[in-house]
Amino acid sequence: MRQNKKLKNIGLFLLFGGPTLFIFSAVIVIPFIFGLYLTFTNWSVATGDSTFVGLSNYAEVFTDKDFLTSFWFTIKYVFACLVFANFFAFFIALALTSKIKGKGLLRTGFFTPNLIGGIVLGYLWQILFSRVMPYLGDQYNWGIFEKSWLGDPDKAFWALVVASVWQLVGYLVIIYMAGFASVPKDVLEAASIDGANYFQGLRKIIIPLSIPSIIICFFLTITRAFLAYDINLSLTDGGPYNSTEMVSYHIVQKAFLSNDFGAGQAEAIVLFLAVALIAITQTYILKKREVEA
Amino acid sequence: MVKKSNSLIAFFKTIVLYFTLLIVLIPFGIVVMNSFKTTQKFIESPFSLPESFKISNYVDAFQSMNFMQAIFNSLILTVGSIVIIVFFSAMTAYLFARFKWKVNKILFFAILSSMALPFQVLMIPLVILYGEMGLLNMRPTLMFMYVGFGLPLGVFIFHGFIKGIPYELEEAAFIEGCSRLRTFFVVVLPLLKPVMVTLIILEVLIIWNDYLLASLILQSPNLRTLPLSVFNFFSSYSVDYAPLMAGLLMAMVPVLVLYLILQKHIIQGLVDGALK
Amino acid sequence: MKLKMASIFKLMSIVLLSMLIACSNDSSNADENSNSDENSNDNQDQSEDVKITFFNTSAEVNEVFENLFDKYEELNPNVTVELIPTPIGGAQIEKFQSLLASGTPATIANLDAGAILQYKDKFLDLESEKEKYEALTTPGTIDRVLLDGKYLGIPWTSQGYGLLYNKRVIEEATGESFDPSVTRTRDDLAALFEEIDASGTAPVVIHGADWSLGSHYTGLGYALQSRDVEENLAFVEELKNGNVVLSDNPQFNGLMDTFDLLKKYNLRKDDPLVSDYNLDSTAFAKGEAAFYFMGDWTWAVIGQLEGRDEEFGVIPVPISNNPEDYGNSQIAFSEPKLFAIDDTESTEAQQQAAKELIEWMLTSEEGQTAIITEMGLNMPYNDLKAESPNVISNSVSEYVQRGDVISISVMNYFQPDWWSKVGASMQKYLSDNIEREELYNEFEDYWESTK
Repeated sequence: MRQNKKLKNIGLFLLFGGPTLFIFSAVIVIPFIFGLYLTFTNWSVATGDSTFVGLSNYAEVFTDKDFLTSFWFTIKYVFACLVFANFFAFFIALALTSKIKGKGLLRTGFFTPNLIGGIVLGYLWQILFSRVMPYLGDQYNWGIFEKSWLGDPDKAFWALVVASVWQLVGYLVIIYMAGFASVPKDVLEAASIDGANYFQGLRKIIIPLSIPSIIICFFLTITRAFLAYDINLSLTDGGPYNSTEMVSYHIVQKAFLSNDFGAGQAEAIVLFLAVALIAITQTYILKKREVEA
Repeated sequence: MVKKSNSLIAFFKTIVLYFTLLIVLIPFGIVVMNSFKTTQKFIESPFSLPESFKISNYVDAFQSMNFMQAIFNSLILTVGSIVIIVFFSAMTAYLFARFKWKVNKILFFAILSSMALPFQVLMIPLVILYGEMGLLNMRPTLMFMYVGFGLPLGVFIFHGFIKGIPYELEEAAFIEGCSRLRTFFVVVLPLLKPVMVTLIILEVLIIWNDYLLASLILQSPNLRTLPLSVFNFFSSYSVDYAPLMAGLLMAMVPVLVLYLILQKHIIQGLVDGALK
Repeated sequence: MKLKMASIFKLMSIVLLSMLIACSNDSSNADENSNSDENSNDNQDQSEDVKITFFNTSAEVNEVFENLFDKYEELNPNVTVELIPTPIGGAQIEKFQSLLASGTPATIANLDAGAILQYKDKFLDLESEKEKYEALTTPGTIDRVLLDGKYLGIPWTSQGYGLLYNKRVIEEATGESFDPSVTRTRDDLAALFEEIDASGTAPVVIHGADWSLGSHYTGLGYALQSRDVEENLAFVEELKNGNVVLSDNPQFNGLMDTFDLLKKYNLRKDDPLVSDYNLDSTAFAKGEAAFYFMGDWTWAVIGQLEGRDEEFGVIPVPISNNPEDYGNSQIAFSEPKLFAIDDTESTEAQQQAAKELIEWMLTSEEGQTAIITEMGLNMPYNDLKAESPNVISNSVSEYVQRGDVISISVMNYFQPDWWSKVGASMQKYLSDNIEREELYNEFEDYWESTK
C-alpha cells in the first residue's frame, strides 16, 4: 500500500514536473555545468586548448579592479531601478484598477514602452539624450538639458536609470494589476476611496494583500537590473570613459574583446551567485509578511 | 464633505495619470513623427513635423526586412514556445505548490536561481554543445531554448498564485472521482486565467524582441526573425534611422494587437476577483 | 467550462501540429545541405553545388554585398552565397567567436586585420595566391597586409584618415583660394584656425567617440615613431616594459600639442563627448566646421546628404613645426578590413569557391562598381573599371601615389580592446577631466598591464 503510494507519487512527479525538468536541464543545467567547468580551464576560441588551471580565474576576479568598480556601479543602478520602477508601477496599477476615465487607453499607453527590445530601447534614448534634450535645452535655456546627459558620468547614470525605469514600469504594472485582481474589489475600493484614511488603508490592507505580486516584481526588477546588458551597450556603451560600465558589460568585454574567456566566465559565475543570493533572500524576507489567502 | 474630497482626489489622480502617460509616450511620438522623414531631416531637426507623409520609409523597411517572412518566423517561434511554456510551467508550479516534498523545494529553488543567471555564462556552452550535436540553424532548437529560458518565469509566477487558490475546490473534484491531471485542467487552470494572460504577455515581450539568442542559433536568411531583420539597418559607424524607425513600428504592431486583445482578460480577472 | 477547455486543447494541438510541420521542413533542409557538403567532399567536380557563407563586419554595406552575391549566383548557379550580418561594436567579435565555437564558422570572414591575426590558426594560408594578388594590387599593398609575415587576408579596401577639410568654408573665411600643401606645420594650422575662428565659423570638429580618439588619433603616436613597423613594435615593447617616458617622447608630445589646438577650436567644445557620428559628419559636410578629424569612409554619410558642400579633401595632422618631420606631410593609410578564408570546418570545395568569389568581387566590373561606386570606398587595385564619387578618397589617393603615407599596421598587433581603454583616457582629456601628465600615466599603465 505504502509502496503503491510512493509509486503513484513518482508518477505524479514525472507527469507534472518531467517535461519542465527535461527542458530545463537541457537548456540551462547542463550548459551551466559545462560553463562552470570552463572557468577552471584557460579555454579560448582562438587557441582552442583547455588546460586545467584550477582556481586562478577566480583569483583574478577579485584582483580585477574594473570588475569591482562595475559591480558597485551596478548595485547603485539596481537600487535606483528597484525604488523608482516599483513605486511608479504600484501606484499606476492601483489607479488603473479604480474608477477612472479612459482606463483602456491608459493601460495600453503605459504598456507600450515594452514593445521595444533592449538594444533598440537604448538607441531610442540615446537619440533623446544626445539630440533631443540638448536641443530643448538650447531653445528654452533649461540648464538641466544644456549638455548631453551622456557626456557626464553622473548624469549618464541617471540616463540609464530613466530609460530602464521607463520600460520597467509598464512591465511591472501588468503584474501588479494581475495581483490586484485577486484582491476583492470592495476591499480595494474601500481602502482607496476614503481620502482621510488613504495611507492607512494602503499600509494595512492593500500592501499586505499584494505581497505576492510585490515579491514577483522585486525579484524580476533585481534580476533584470543586475543582468542588464543591452541597454548599457546601446545607450552609453560604457561611456563616457568607461564610467558607466555595468557588470554584464564588463564581463562581455573581458571574455570576448580582451580575450580572457576564463576570467570573464568566472566573473559571470560570481555575479550569478551574488544576484541569486540577493534576489532569493528578499523573496524569503517578504514571504514572511505574506498573508495566507 | 467626504464626497467632495473624493471627487477632488479622483480628479487629481486622473490629471496626474494622464500627465505621466504623456511623458511616457513622448519618445514614441518622436519615433512616429520621424518615421515619415528622411534620415537627414531627422538628424538635422528631430522635432520638426514631417513635410509630407512619406511612406517610402515603410516601403523600404518592408522590403529590405523581408517583412512577411520575418513576421512568419517570429510568429511560429513565439506562439509555439509560449503554448509549451504556459502548460508545462503551470503543471510544474502546481506540483511544487501542492506537494511540499523536499525534492520539490530543491527544484523550485534551482529554477528560481536560474533566473539570476547571466546569459553570458550559458552562451558559449550552448553554442558548443548544440553545435556539436549539429542542431544549430534550426527553428525547433531555438524554440526549445526559448521554452527552457521561459519556463522558470512561468513556474515562479504560477507558483505564487496557485498557493492562493483554496484547496477545497480541488477536493470537491477528487470526491467526484476526477484524476489529478483532470482536476488540474478542469479546476485549477481556469482559475489561473488572469495570471496566464499576464505570463503570456511577459513571455511574448521577451521572445518577440529577442535578438541575441536568435542571432546565435539562426543564420539562414529565410529563418530570420523580426529583430534580426530590423538589425540589418544598424551598422558599425552609422545608422539609417528613418527606415529603422519605420521597421521598428511595424515590428511592434503584432504585440500591440495581442495586448489589446488580452488586456480584456486582465480586466475580466478584476471582475472575477470582485465576485469571489 | 468544458467547451472552453476543449477549445484550448484544439488550439494547442493546432499549434503543435504546425510546429511539427515547420520543424520537419527545417530538418529536411538541413539534411540537404549536409548531404551536399559530403558530396563535394568526395567528388571535387566543379558543377557540384556549393554553399558558402560570408561573415561581414562592414555592416554599413550589407545590402551592397547581398546584391553583389545575387549577381554572382546568377553567373554561377551552382554556388550559393549567404551573408551573415553582424550587430554593432563589440558584439561582432562575440558573434564570430560563437560561430567558431559551435563549429559553424563562415567560409569567408570580412574582418579587421588585427582580428585575423588573433585567430591566425583558423584561417587558410593564402601563400599560393600571393603572387597573383601582388600583380593585381598597387605596389606595397600586399606587404602592408602581411600578418606575422603570412598572407592570411586579401585586401579589398583601403582607407586614409587625417584632417578632412571643407574647401568652401576655408576659402570664405580667408578670402583666398585654399592650397592644402602650404599647411605643413602646427603653427601654419594654428594661424589658419585663428583666421577661420575670427570669421565666425568653428575651425574643427572632433568626434568624441573612443574609436576615433583612441584608435585613430593616439594610434598615430606609435606609427610615427619610425617608418619601420618592426621599430614601432619595438617601441611598444619598451612601453610594456615600462622603459618609455611618454612625456619625453617628441612624437607623443607633438601629437598632443596639436590635440590641444584642435580642442581649443573644437565645434563641440561645450559638450565634447556627444559623439554622434551622423551629426558630426553632417555638421562638417554642411560647413558648420572647416576641418574634421576623420577618414574617407565618412563619405558613406556625407555622400547622401542634400544641401551639402561639394569640395572636400584631407591634410596630415601636423605634429611639429618642422615641415620635414615624418607625419607632417603624410596621412595615415591602411587596409583595415581583409577577406580571410576559414580553414577549420570548410571543405576544399568551399574554400575553392570562396577564392573564386573573392577574385570575382575584386577584379570584375560588377564587383569594383559595387565597392567603389556604391560603397564609396577606395580599392588598392590596378586598372580599376569604376569611378569613385568619393572626393575625399580621391584626395587620399594623391598622397598614396606620392608615397606620402604613414603605415599604421603596428595597430594590428595590439590587444583588440586597446582602443577602448586608451580612448577612455582620451575622452577624459578631451572633457578636461585629466591633465596631460595623468593622460600619459594612464597610457603607460595600460601598456604595462598588457605585458
